[in-house]
Amino acid sequence: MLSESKTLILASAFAALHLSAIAAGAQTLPDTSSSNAGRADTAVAAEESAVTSADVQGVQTDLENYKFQVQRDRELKTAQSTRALLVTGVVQGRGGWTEARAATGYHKHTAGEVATALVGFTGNLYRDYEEARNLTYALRFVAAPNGGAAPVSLLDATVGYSLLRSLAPDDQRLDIAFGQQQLPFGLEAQTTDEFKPVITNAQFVGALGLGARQIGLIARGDLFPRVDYGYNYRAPIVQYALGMVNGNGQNTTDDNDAKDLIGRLVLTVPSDYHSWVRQFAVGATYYKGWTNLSALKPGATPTAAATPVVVGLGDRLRTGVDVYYNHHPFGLNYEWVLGEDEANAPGATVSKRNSVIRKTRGQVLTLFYNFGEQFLRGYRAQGRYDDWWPKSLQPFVRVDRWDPDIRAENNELDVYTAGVNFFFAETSKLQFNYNTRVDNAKGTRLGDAQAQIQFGF
Amino acid sequence: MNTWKLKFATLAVAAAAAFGMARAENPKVIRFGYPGTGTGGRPYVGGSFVAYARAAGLLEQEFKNDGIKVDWTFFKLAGPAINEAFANKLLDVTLLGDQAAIAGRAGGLNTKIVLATGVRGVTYVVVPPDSPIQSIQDLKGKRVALFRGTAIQLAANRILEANGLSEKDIRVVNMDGLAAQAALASKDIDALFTIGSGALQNQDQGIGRIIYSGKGDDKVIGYASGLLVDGDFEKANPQIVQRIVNVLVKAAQWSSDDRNRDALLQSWAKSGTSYSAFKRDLAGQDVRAILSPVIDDYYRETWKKAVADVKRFKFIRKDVDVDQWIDSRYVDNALKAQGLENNWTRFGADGKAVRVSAVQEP
Repeated sequence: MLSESKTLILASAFAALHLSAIAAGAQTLPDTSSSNAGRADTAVAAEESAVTSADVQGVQTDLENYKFQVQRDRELKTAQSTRALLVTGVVQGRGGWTEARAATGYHKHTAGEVATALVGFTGNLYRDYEEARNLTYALRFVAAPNGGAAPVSLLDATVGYSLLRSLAPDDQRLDIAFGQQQLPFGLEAQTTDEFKPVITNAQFVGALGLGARQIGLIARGDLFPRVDYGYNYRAPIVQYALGMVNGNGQNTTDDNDAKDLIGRLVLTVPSDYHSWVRQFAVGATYYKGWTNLSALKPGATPTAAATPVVVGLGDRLRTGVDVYYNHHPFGLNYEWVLGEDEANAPGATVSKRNSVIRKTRGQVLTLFYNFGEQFLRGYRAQGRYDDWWPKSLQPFVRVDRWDPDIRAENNELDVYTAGVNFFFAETSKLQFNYNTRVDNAKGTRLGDAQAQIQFGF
Repeated sequence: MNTWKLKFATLAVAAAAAFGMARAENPKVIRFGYPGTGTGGRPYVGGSFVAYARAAGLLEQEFKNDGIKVDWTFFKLAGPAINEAFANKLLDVTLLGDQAAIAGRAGGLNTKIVLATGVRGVTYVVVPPDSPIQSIQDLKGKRVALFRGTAIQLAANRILEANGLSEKDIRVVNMDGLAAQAALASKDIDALFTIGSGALQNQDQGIGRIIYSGKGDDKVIGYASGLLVDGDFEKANPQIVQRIVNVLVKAAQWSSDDRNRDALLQSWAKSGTSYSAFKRDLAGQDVRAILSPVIDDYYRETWKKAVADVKRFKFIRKDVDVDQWIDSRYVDNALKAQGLENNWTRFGADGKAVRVSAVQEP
């Protein structure tokens, strides 16, 4: 319930109060209302009352010094904010080799880059201590300097609210978030970098625009949570998400009046922690969007250039099905996505829509195995003087198939990836991937290797 | 092959097998768990003879010459986190309270209880000093912190039931011990259930007033704890388990000796809870009984009642056979080998002494 900083301040105050209580003599200790405990306590306390005034003055001086130091450090050396604030970040440094030759320019085969640098700010605008119906905010910026430029752009900017009481694990959840945010589509697009075994996303994520943020209102919740308190394990049987967004991507305004809709439903097999079907879930997502259809409007005179104009709205549909089985130490994810994009064919005019629908399909299967304790929440929360230095190893394989046009034959792009992740601290990992990329249309088979160090804070 | 060559080969194979077996028998590390941490997350605790053994480094000394490391893990999320670690084969031995141990066993964990580490545990209910709450009945409708999945939850349910209430009558806030103490100080909760000396510490700090102490409350049976070993570890390393139990029985004998009480409490105070709080927690209790490692009929009966209650409160669905679960061979061996069979009073299933300790209290 309390932030770590608040807990630390309180702990300091407890220590000070505790010293004061001892210094003031045990006679001043409050009595208990429980008579049996109280009598015993008083007898013991009387034995510990030999405190002199010099002791008291010494403790008071220590307390004053401590208060002065804390106040001065807070004023001069502590970052402050108007509301509770948690600063987080992820940085990915990457190096790679490929046997493919660049189409133009210098035929390089190796490259190093900072793939992503992300910094985020999250916290509560209002903290509800009664029922945990908190008002929250999130603000994240990302720099992904591929291609030479290093544009820093806004990634997430949301304000959220918990509509239901969410104090206990067995409470059902319903949270809404408004702003620029990740779509609740499938597994691959939503999984954060901390949990992704593979360095790069599946091909369909980028091709279908599922990795891009959207601006709108999204509700996420769950029903019938099953809690195994023997392991502090919570698994809602039903998870859902419903949303309405601009549909025009991130950091831009809407380009039409049609709002895109998304719905997701996940069913998890009810089980206790120790069951072999723990964390076995099947999900489905449907995204209904609209895109502007353009056509060329002839110029006013035969010599004037034609200008593109919007002649209507075309469908932009995404349908996904996924299977998730993450039963530590092994895991399996499978995702199937169908994309349907309507666009005007060449020759469309203001008076003739002439649109066609292009169907695309992506599939990805990932298998991994964990050696070590990196993903066990309970094990990570240890009491110790030094920092924890977990060492975990995660080998994996992935098969990623992308069909850019279902109607065309033998045009799939396949990426077979094998790799290993070495977690060498709680929030850091070193990743090695080897990819074999098969272009069935071109009949090529090329290999590339990537190494990435990712650290978070 | 002539005879001497055959003998030599046989010897070599036997020696290699023996060497291999010896290597297989000795683990490089014993992974020892403990539910909870000291104040501020420090890796020291108090309240048991296992805590003393940790503070004194007794297990480390025992296995030093064998090159076996003792790796202690103190779990902030207590019993449920220990069950998670057991389920994923990350622990060999642990101290664990009754409810979490029972939930783990009912869920299919292959564990054995080989040593008693506590019985008749005392639960307290603490409220802010200026709270109008005076009794358990006054908790009705209030925000009450308790750590679900741990021995505190079972104790809380027993106390509530003895006072005509249930968890449904209060607004439960699920919190670990340190978070609950901070919430009590800021009055974000109206009360908290806690075990051991933490309640006395809250009182010293001026943030809490004890409205209920389980000392001598016959309506509510105290919680129990035990030393659990992973079944596979025990099967592969019975001699290591025996040595662990030997060391801990010796620690129990030292801890329950009244002449060592001050030194014991000082070692517990490494946890950050004060010497005074521990002393007052023990005051009025049969310290030798609560620090007894003996698995007697009362200890078994306490676990049987705990299993029945955990099932009755619907925290588990499957049953647990306590007689199959508790294995007293190791502690009986240790008591016999160290001549301590009569060091602690043995109690019958009804809680009455059946064989009084031969040790004369000073």
